Amino acid sequence: MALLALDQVTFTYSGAEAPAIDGVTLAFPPGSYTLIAGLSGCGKTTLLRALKTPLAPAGRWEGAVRCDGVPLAEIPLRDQARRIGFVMQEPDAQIVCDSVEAELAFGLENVGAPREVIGLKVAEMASFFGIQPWLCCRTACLSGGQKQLLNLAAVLALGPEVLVLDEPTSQLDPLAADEFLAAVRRVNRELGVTVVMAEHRLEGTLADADQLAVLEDGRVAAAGEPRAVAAQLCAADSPMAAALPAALRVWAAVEGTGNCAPEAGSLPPLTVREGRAWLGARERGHAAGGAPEGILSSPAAGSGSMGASDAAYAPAPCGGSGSGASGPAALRLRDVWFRYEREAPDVLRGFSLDVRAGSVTALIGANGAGKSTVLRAACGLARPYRGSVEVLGQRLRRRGAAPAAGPVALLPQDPTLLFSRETVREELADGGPDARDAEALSLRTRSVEAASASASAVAEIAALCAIEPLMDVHPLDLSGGERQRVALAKVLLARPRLLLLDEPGKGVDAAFKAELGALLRQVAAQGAAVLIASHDLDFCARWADETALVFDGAVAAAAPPRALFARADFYTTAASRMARGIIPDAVTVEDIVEACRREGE
Amino acid sequence: MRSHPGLALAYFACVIGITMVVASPVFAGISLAGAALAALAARGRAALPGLGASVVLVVFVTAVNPLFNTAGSTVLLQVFGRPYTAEALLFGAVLAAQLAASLLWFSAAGRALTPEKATYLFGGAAPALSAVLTLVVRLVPAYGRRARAAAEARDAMGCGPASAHGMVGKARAGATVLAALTAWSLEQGVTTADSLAARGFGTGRRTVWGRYRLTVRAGLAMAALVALLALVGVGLAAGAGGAQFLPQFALPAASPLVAAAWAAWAALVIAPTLVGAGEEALWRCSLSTR
Repeated sequence: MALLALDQVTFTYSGAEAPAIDGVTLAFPPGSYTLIAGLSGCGKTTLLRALKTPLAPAGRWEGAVRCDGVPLAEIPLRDQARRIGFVMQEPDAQIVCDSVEAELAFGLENVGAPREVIGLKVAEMASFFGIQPWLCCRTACLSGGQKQLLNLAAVLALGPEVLVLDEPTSQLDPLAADEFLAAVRRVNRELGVTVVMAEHRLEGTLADADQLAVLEDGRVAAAGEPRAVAAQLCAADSPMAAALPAALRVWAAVEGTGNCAPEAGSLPPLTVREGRAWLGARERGHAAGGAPEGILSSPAAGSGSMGASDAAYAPAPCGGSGSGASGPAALRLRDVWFRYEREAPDVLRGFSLDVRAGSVTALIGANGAGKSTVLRAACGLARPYRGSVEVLGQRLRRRGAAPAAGPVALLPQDPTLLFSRETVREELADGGPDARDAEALSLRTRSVEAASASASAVAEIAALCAIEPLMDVHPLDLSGGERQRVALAKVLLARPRLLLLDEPGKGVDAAFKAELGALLRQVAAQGAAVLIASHDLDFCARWADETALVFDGAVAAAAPPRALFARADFYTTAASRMARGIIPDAVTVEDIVEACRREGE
Repeated sequence: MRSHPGLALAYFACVIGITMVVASPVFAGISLAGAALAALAARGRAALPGLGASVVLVVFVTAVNPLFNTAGSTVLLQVFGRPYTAEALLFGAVLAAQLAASLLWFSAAGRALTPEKATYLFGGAAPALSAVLTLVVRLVPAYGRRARAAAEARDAMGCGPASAHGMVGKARAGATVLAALTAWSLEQGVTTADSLAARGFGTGRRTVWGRYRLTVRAGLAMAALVALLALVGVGLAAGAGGAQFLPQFALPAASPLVAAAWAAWAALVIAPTLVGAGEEALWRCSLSTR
């Protein structure tokens, strides 16, 4: 019998026309690992909240949710707290206590566990998750990844049979997210806890899962064995396909097109390892069958011969190498040194970089390398103590003048920071200095003209960012991706000539990431310079003109993404890791597919 | 701090209570000296700004009191045609010392009684109250950080407080940041409430857990605290806390009982400093034995 089961569950928010989830039937057997995928706003959160009575939203529920055959509503709340663990998106807001130790004990205190048991469980959890080094820290001092790990540990201290996670990594940077997902995998594999997780990042998780359920508009579009469901998604050209692992996308594009006969009994690859095995076998098969030479080189020739093979095939839509490098420098940092406090270590140590107008430049690198600080220096929030920062040919002064504004705009990691109004429309009207100037102008003379000009600008930007249907919604009622869109629109309204974005792909689904990339290219095409700080290598490889690897406060390597990622062995895209040594210089999924097609012809 | 929360609470409640209630130059002076030493022992140089502020407070209250209170027989000078008397000056000094000592003791209690210890003490009796306390302790600094982040984010767009012009502009920019903060905190509150509910808060009797045990050492300390308090209490009953200000200042006669009460009070307020110093010495000894 399934541990948890949803039977024809339909839910309609009070006052809403359409149901948020519609006739969902799913079962989660004991010890299983289920991934719930779907675009933002497809009902994932509502579905997960149905699995725990105190969290279920108010409205009209139909159908039955059963735990071990017993209707969930009949299980006392105290037992539900013990048996069903729930981890939400926000790492910070879920923490209740001031110290890590107290937070671990909090759930057990609530259910009235004996003191000896609490002491044991706290010790166990701290050891299992490696929390001991920061056990005595204030919770406010932890990093986002540590906070979310603490939330997981605090829930597991209760010894639940089921762990429900609602996009737990959406607020984390990719490295912390990978660590968190590894912890979830351990909980499933080593403790046998049933896992039900909604997640955007399928690259690292799909291979661990036993079941993949895809939601579309509140209905289960597909559910079952991950490989089968994933292959089905690719075949149907679903918008969810972009979120699937690179190996699977390549496989589906190559095997599915019918250019070459699919090998009998071959399973779609999910991981880089499986992808390499499949690609290698495919190449050997073609070599034996007398495939045309030159495209698939031998593994040894892999990374050395990039210059020659660059011309072998035209780059896929990936940002053209060198095409945007001709514009004038919009931002020029020269030998910049910066530290946050007098006694603190240097964050930037002789950092130099040029960002050209009309191009998209991406800063990549690990946490704490100084990426965000570079963005802060570019907009005058961080004043370097040595070196110079020139924005549009004008040097930022070290003290005195207010931070640069107008031509420079920064989209912070958390877009919610920019929101202060009741509706999106008001939010956009309360834009940057342009809006203020227009307001001042309208007070004096050409009121009608100025007002209509700003209104048309709002309409234009709203169309560009595809937020027209959201104009009368409260900004905080929006989903993560929608917030990012509105914040971007707000920033773009200031008509920046230098646009800075800090981790723009955080917490948004794959479909929106592609839209965002296209949008940034459009902004750059209009002559602005775009500088992104990101951990998302696939995003940078696909959309940037230039990439700079930031390490220890300086640029360790700077080149167009194709060159940089083709040279790197570890710190590179999944597609590049998969094709390394088999297809030279393939950096994106499209590159590999292109190479395979050419070879098939 | 390794002290048991109950011991720390009892100690600070007694010391602060006596400091506030007993208006005697001897008690107030000893208390202020003890509090200052405890702050120095615990925080070193970092305690100096706070102590400096206490000195300013004491001087100010002492100097100002005679302006409002003209009682006393020893007139020092005439201010605005009113007598400025030595007795009033002294009374102001006692008042000021009580005030400054209480403030210093409160900050010491805040350092020793961390939020966990407070919840440990009160969590059993009032779980809802202690949960609110813990959340407030977390929220206040979180608000500050969030406000700074929001102000910076808006500054980077050129519409934040730093780039606003004039008083009105700055006030308006500040109000916008505040509005953003309010909406954000409501949203966070919903998540926190869900997190409380998901982990079974309010589903019945609660355990209070803490890694504090009543050891023999804590018992001895408690016994010493009770003994010293008893001595102080007996002394206070015998008039050790009294002081005559009008018409002329006079301390009670130093009978053995009164002197013993003063000594006990001094021992009580110096205790945290001595414990700290003792541990420091022990640490050095145990280091040098290696």
